[in-house]
Amino acid sequence: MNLFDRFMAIEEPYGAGIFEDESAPRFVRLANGQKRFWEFADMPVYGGGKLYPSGRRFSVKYGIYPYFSPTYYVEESVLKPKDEALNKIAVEEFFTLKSLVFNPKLQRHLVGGDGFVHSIPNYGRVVKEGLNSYAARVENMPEGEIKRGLKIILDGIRIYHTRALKLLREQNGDAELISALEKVPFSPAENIYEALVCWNFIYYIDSCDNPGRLDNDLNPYHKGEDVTAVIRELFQNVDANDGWTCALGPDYNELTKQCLVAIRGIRRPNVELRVTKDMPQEIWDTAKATLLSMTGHPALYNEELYQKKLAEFFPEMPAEDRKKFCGGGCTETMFAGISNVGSLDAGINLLYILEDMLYRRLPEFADFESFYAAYLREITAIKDEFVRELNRYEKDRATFRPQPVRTLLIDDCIDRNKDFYGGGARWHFSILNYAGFVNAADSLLAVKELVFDKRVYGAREFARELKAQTDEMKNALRRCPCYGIDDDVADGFAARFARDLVALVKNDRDYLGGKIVTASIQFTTYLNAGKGILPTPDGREENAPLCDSLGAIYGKDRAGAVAMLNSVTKLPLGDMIGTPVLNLRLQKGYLDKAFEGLVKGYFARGGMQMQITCMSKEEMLDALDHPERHRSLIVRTGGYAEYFVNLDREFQETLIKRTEFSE
Amino acid sequence: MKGKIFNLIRGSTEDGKGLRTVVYCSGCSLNCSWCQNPEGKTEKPLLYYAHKCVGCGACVRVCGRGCHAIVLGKHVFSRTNCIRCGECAQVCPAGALVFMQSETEAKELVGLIARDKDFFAASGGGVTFSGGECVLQNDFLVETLRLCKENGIDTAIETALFYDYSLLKRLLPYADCVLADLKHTDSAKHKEFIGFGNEKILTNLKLLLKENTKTVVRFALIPGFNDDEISLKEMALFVKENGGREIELLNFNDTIENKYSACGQTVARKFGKAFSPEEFAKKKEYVSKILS
Repeated sequence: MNLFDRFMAIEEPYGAGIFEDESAPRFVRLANGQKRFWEFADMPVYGGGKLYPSGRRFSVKYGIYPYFSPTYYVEESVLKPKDEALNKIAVEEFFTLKSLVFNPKLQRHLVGGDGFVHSIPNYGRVVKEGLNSYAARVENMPEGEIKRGLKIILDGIRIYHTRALKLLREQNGDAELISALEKVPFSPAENIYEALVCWNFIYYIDSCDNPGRLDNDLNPYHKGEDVTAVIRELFQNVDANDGWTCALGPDYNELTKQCLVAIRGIRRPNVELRVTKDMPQEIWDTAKATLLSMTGHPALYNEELYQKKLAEFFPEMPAEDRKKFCGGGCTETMFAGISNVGSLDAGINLLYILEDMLYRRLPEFADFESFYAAYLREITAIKDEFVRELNRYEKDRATFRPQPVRTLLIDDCIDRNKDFYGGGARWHFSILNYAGFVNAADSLLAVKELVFDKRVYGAREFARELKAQTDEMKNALRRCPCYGIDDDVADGFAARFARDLVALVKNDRDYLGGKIVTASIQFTTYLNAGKGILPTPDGREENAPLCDSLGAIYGKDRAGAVAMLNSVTKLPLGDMIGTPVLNLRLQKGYLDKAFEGLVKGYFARGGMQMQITCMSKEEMLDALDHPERHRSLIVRTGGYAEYFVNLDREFQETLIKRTEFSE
Repeated sequence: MKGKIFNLIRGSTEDGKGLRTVVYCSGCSLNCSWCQNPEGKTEKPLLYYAHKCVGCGACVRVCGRGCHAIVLGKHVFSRTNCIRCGECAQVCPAGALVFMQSETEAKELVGLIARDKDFFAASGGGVTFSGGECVLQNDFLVETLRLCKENGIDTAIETALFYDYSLLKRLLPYADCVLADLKHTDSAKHKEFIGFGNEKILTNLKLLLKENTKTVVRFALIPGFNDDEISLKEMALFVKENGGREIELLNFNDTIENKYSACGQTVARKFGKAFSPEEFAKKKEYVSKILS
């Protein structure tokens, strides 16, 4: 039996497609894998609603399946029991692309990334022009592997679409849905419902990543209808597939409000609201009501400042493209439909590097400045290693792991005749995530105070007492200056440290010549990022998590929310354009009264992004003991939303410890 | 010009409009048995929050008067010989010992308040001077208010009106709003619970309501003292008949025992529980109907 038949025999159509013609270029092989998956894999279950596909994108466990970032994925735990030999073949093929942190030096810095790429298809264009127009554009391409592969993808979409319609008819599906799907996504949508049906369909074609800029791109089709229920279905589909981000605004409209209402009680997508100075009061009120429903949505983004900073970072980008900025994944900055952003390409665990300096090298330094300079050199060395690996990885990815679906759906891949990962997207840059920034800043402040300024401890004694966590050391550390309480000296140092970190990547470029921008997005990685790290002078115990955002370390922000926000705005937030995430937990009553003032004040001072969780400590504690009572409790952490009861215990406990601001 | 304050809270939403910095000034001329800030009446208040103590013994080492000890691993604090010097609070790493009074220059205080101007502008907020009774530090408050206005900061004074009216009059040119507490119109009851009759307060309130300054009369609801319909009606009618347009009801704070314990004091009387949201809403509606 040939490989195609062997993979089909074990119900692995993606694998069958990849190996159907091994002599074909990789772009064509992967396109074929995707096509065969659409042709033979299980169809999603129809939930009886107004949208299809719906629910989980496939209900059967596949060993090889489409996955937007790596294009496809090999799940050995599923594939190996089916056929060990085929598993070996598939794994060998998959690992022709070596992971970014294959380099052992970098493995400790897996704080988000390893080359993961979220993106956003150009939904608006598909809705407006229909895929038949895409087919015409593909037909006009020069002959070659990209054209060949895209034709296979379009073929595959038609097959999948036909299967979808057949299933709906057989199951007496919603008549309006069937009628809409007979038209979209191949012909242009003509009304809001058809546009939503098209949007949902393409979301599944893209393997359920980000739903993108819903309200602004759908607004031309909206004639005032209440489509909240349909939007809610779309969001439920996103949630069912652990999908990602949807951005609303800055051209506010009725759909903006409907989206803000539709998301209540649903974990995903992560809804972002782009806030302008003249955002209408009804949007403020609707957003506040959604936050008060304890959903963790929306996160808030300072539109004017983002536009200003994006213009500085990308002076060559026209305003029209800048306006398409949208979070992807947790909240990585990208441009809907027109970008290949590295997302969280790589991360650097600042505290891990500092731990090494403190416990191994502190006695070498006579003064703080030389210690700090050496620390920056260590960070630079790791950063340089990352940039080298990133370049290697991106080059290998372009060779070994093209992305045919995104090549079709993201501009300007067709026009450029280039794969998505090979320079096809109109805009490209990479993101370097700095984790543990606040922990490192507070640690440096403590070392400066106790070892170098006041000489309370000698270097060796300091490391010894720190590791032993003596009461005297803990008390001494508690009294050290710290970031987050509007102390200009401490905050000034934190700002200097942040500026130095941002400057480190100023001249670096990735494989495609894109800039490398910095971010501080911990999402859930802050939990494990502290494991294996000894006690640190910010007051952190051995193995304890890192700080989860750019706010103060929990328990230290004792001067209140406004003071903490003042501290954060002293950092060069606009230069960490990859997104500088700030988590804030507010009691309901306080949120109700303080919401607009806090957000507007924060943004006026240079704040970029804020995400608010509104739930009490009591509720979370009760949820620990009685999860069945709190299934809809949603927290926003590090960039994305998650059901509190779904988190593991350790994670839940860090969230409970997070300072709750109140009146 | 220096003043004594015992607390400063930023980002408050409870004492005036918008986000406010509330400055709590030391000293008070009344003796309300439900006082929520007993530390405001004490010279150099030293608070001890036992639940925050980590038993490190740092306070034991610095106290020259033997007020602190670690006995069987637990911290024991005796106020008998305590002169409230604040040395122990300076070294306490856990925030269990808190020295609440600081002397501050008007200019320095306004500098601190002005740090939140963006939040004030964003919310229509500003600064509220409260206490204790802030009006009693009259010279300090005139200076501070004047500097606030020079800095474009919205100002409010929260006061119980128990002093010579001339003191308040001095402040009015610099106050955008006065939050005036009215506790009871029945002087005998007022004296029973607060230690003084209400004649001066009522007189001052009448005068204040004639001024051009925006005035919000505040009723802090105290169960068993002024929460009944007769008392509320009398108070509301008094305000209405004297030209008052705005009354704000404040719910009772039933957690004050914690604060008293931290101050080394006991509550003079027990008043019961805070009103439920429904009960509170009813009382608000009742007062509102009388005022309208």
